[in-house]
Amino acid sequence: MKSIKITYIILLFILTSCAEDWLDIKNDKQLVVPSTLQDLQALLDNTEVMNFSSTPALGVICNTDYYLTDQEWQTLADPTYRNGYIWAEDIYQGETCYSWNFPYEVILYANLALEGLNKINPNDASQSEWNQIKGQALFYRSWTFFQLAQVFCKPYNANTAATDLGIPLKLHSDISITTTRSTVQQTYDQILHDLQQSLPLLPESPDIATRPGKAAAHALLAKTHLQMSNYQLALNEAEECLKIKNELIDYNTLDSTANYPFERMNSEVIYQSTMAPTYALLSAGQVDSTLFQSYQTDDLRRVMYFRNEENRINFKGTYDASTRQFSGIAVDEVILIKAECLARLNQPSVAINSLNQLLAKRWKSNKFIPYQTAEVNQALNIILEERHKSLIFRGIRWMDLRRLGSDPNRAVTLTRQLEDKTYTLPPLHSRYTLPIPDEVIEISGIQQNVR
Amino acid sequence: MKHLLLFFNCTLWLAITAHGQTNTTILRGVVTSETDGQPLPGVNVIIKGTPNGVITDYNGEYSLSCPDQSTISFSYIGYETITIERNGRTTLHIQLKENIELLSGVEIYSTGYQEIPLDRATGSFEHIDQELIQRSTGTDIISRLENVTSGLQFDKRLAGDTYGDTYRNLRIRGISGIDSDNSPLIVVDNFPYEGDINSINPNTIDHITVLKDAAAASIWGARAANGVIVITTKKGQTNQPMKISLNSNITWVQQPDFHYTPDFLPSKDFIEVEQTLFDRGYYDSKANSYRQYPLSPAVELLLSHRDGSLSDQELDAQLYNLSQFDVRDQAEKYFYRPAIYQQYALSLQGGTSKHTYFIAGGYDHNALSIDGNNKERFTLNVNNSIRPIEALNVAAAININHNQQTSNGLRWGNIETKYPYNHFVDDQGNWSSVVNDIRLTYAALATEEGLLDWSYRPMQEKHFNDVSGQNTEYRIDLNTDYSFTTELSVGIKYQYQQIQGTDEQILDKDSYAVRSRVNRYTQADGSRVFPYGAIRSNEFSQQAAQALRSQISYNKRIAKHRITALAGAEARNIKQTQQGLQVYGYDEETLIFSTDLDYTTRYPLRPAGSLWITPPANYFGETLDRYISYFANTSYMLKDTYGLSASVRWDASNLFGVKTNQKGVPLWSAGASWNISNETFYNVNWLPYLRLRTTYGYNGNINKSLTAYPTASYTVDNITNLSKAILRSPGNPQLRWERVSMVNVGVDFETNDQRVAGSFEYYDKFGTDMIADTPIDPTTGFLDPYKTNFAETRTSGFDIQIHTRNTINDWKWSTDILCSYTSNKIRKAYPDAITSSSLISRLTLNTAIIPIDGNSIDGIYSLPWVGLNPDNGNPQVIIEGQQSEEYRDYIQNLQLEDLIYNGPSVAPIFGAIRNNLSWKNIGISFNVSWKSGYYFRRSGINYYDLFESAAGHKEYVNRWQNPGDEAHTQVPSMPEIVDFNRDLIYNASEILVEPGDHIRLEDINLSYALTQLNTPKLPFSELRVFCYARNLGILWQASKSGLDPDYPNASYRSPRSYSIGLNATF
Repeated sequence: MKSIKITYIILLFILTSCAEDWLDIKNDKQLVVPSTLQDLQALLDNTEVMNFSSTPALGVICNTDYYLTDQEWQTLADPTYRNGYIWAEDIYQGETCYSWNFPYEVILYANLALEGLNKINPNDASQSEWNQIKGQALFYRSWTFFQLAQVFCKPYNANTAATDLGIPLKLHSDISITTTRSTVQQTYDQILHDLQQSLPLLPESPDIATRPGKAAAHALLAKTHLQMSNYQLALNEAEECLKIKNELIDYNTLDSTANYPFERMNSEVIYQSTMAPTYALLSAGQVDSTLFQSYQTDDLRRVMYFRNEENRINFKGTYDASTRQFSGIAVDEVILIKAECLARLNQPSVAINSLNQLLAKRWKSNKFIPYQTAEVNQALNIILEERHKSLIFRGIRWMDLRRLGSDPNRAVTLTRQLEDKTYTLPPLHSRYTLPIPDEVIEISGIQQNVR
Repeated sequence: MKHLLLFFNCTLWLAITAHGQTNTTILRGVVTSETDGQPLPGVNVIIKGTPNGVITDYNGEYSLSCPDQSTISFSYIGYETITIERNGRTTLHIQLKENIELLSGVEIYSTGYQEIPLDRATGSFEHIDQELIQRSTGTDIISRLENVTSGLQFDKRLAGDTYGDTYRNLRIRGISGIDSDNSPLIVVDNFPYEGDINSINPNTIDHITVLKDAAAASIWGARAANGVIVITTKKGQTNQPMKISLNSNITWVQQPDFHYTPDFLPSKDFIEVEQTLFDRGYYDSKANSYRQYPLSPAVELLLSHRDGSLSDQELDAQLYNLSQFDVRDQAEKYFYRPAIYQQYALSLQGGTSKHTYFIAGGYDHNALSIDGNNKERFTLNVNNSIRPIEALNVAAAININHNQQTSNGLRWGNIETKYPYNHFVDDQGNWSSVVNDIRLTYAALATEEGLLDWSYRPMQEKHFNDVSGQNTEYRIDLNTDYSFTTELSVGIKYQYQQIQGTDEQILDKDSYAVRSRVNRYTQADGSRVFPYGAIRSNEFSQQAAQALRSQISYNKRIAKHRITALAGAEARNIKQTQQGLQVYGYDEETLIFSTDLDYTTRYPLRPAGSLWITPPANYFGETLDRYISYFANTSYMLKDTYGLSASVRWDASNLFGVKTNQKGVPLWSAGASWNISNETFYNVNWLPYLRLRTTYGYNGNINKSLTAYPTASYTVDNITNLSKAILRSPGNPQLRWERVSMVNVGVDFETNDQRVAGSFEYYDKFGTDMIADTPIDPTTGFLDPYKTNFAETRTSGFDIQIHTRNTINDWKWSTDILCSYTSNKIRKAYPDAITSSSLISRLTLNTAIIPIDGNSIDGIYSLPWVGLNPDNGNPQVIIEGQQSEEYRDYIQNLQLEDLIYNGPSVAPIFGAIRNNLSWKNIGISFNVSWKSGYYFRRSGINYYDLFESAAGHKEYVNRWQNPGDEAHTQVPSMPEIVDFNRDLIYNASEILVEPGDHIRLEDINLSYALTQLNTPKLPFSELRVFCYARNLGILWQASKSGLDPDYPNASYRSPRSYSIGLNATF
């Protein structure tokens, strides 16, 4: 009898050691630990995270291209909208800051993909796929770092960049790593470095505009250099981009009565992205009437960009055909960068010529009278005004206000009227740098921006 | 798995080879009670003059190895001991005579692994016998446990429109988890039940054991932290002549009464509100919009009047006409009916010494209170056991449950009942239409424009919506038991369960859902891009569960020592698959459907906007759960007075992403008992039975939603049509199983003549590594609530049970008293994990948890109430010591410290008193329950909901209207501009929190029984007829709100029900 019991006990132990492979089976077939190239590409193809509602909206919220009446302002539920509108010191009042959270979610996905790639040794057959995923992940991360830097850091200034506080440069997915802040210089260095690395890895043109290609990387390099006032470098990159993609939509082919005249991922889009939610704000308010009136009758942007119904003017010109505001890269922006850089590099005629090619597609056929000037400052003023009017509600105006603040001839002071009070935002004011969300400060202890 | 099978083969082989080695003959038999013929479990069967013996099992059966010529004694508490010569017999059936002088009532507990007699159990068990199960009626088994099971609580806070009026969560001895499932494990016939417990026919249940403490439940290991309910189905008994029983009952359930809910504003007052808002221009933007937003019929009338198409008199007349309708009456009349439940069950059972059988069939038909919703259940149970050789018993059981239901009815709380003057049938008896998702004036033009009729007639929809479901469950059990010797036996149990379910919905081509979609997608040229045909949706689910257990038991009595031990291993495999299928343009006659729809083009919509056609919902899912467990359990008793017990169990599962070394968790328990009354020094004559027992141990709990590695799930991106991966969890390498330690101390006692018997138990549970929300820096990129094994909880309380016999002359009278106290407390949590916006939403939800150290997991919190402003009737708040009306500032700066903690929302004190009286053939039993020490939040008027979604509240009529009203009302005035925060100040305020304490008359059972003993001519051996009434109402309650504290948010009171039935045994 004893021997039976002992045998039984021995069998129990044998079973213990054998059980593990039987238990290694997946519990839910739909679940994966992202580890194959296919998994990593699928993470980056999660457009809801990577592309849509993925960039900060604070630049649009704090901008004066729209306005609210006292009552409209009162009824807004989200404190970010209300406080952002008047550039208050505290913006979020403890509420979730989507302009921070959504971009950092993109960075987490990109880091997971980059870490996954490190664990895969590609063979000859998979090398190109491996390269493309790496190029994409680096782009997504740089793109998001760039977008965050335009809201949460001081404008780039070569003299102080080494000490100005940058954004937290999350380069690993491990959620236990404590957040720290970089400097502005480190932030821009990281963006430029990653983009340079991604260029040889990315395909010439991607299968779909939610994925980046070489054109997108060149365009982002141009945008970055423009922020850093490296006009020659920005011009080179813009031209490299336009060599790959330069198609413009002729607005005469569009239906101005449509709810949203522009299709999502239309032929002009180089890289598709939209910003954190702004619909509740922009539908409550209206487009600034001076701005609206600055579009002439034959300028098709007047009817394609704006819904003028029931005595209200609202923006409908998003390149996303939805309530979300397009914040990605389109050919029109790259042409405008090229034109601005040419003007700044003392080639006003060539610059104006580029602008005219763009505007010809924006006006009613044969109605556009091309600009003509050979004067640098005048050319620059024309280009910057058309840049404002072409790229409204894409978050780009905010970036321009920040960089133009240091140009005494072009700096503007923003003003708001609300409840008999006037609020102003002078050029280069510290409130051009938005505060980091309260919960981030509480949990990580990183330094808050000076308001 | 291969190895596991090998292991089971080995144990079987060992069992068979061992048989040849025995050299004693085995004596078998059944011990029954002379009084009622019922088998007696736990009887001591001893070879006289030796210390050797066994005890009978649950069926009263024993097998004892002993010399052919020996004397055997049968002794049992409460019965006279019988001593008998064996004389070479191989079977010996014994009837024991009840001894009134001695103690009786020894119960046997089934743990699902073994059967333990009460007097040797150290842990906390609760036995529910057949009589108690059959005392109430109802289709499901679990609801019959309410108010008759000590320590078992039904948490009904979510009962209401969304979850149904019978929705409840079970709690055994409170809860200890914060974010994990707190419901007990339910075991049916030895294995965890993986189906819908409501499909089990209560007529086939023999008895139920509830395992409450660590020692009782530890045998179930990692899933036992919340207690275990062990259900055992009926089986045939050896040497029993064939017994046929018939059970039938019919239950009538009162029709729902929607005049109960306070969330209703009568038509007249509601029209008054609409008129006021109309005058303020509140509806102008909607009325002017090209989007054709739906407006209420009264507002449409007011608009016509303003436009001049309706005269003053016509307006008044039509508004008056509307105000005469009451949607509550309409819904009760046209959507509801009294429910009627019919239950029939027939069973056959019996056995010889070598074979037993039990065969039962059941049929249930429930015509539910929603007209058009019906449920049917067919059950078949066949259970056979044979004993081909003396040492081997083989049992096989097949259980089949088939459920089918139709849900075509309409119910309260949807668009049909939105406006208080909605009506479904007009004065001429025609079906009327109500507002749905488009303006009536726009819908009226549809047919003129060549569109389909766009009006919504609820009564017509009933016929155009076909929702049905069915599921069939097959459960097959195979058990073999082999005894090597009288002491040592081996058992192998196998269970296979398969459940197949289908749910189907066919929206007829003329249903509103289809007509509306066809119309919306009809293009300017009249072409239809959405097919004018039915929409059919099917969901198929299949579940196959297999469980295999091998167990070795040892049971030995040597002189004063009695040892029982068991050890074994178990493996379970549960595979679930789901499949969803949906088609558009379905034709019921030919079964064809549209296959050529374009889901990528954005079509202009009517009346405005543009959209793609939503692709049909098609999906597949597959999950696989695997568990392996090893367990051992032993107990030792000295002189039937001192007892010790210990158990250990190791569990592992394929918890996805968990590191292998954390898959398994070892859990254990230990216990001791002392029968003081057996001691020689004990001489308390009035208390002849007194026993102390205590246990300590650890049980576990699983939260399968968390993983250690980053995990993602695949789906198709609807914008790019590419596969995309969604990150489900960033991974948590520190993830562990939750562990709950529990100490239990109990006293069992019985006075002379069993006048008073009962038990008192105290317990204390400490939950460690409990899963809870943890603050996470959003810079990490992970934005969903993040949960870690961080929190600690403590749950303690006591259970008292008292049974008294108060018999006077011919009147037999007994009383059962159950009283429990359970309190839970959060000892450590991260209140910071709650953002201020989620705090606001948690404040008014019924079951949302606000984790604050030291308070209950179930805590209700509220905002301080300062009263109304005497000038305008606005609620006041205090900001920096000053009265203020800056609601938004107040809400946004709200801190946890500002909240008032009212107390728990689930009763910490609860119990029931059940009196059973009988006189001759007539018996009456009634149950009174009570709950106290808890709070509920009643609803208050919410102007935002009133204005925006027509959700009225009867408080509107009591609102502040003129200065001075604040003296007699706390209901805020109607605001000029709707303000969500202003409503919140009132709705989350302390004045809406009410005490829940109440006493309730649960039920009355009146029965009349005829037996052949007292009526010899009876063709039955027993016939019992009974009437049963349930939910009879509240006898006393602390709250003056008029709301039932168990259903404060339901739209109708849980209805009364009345049953009549008969049980006949042939």
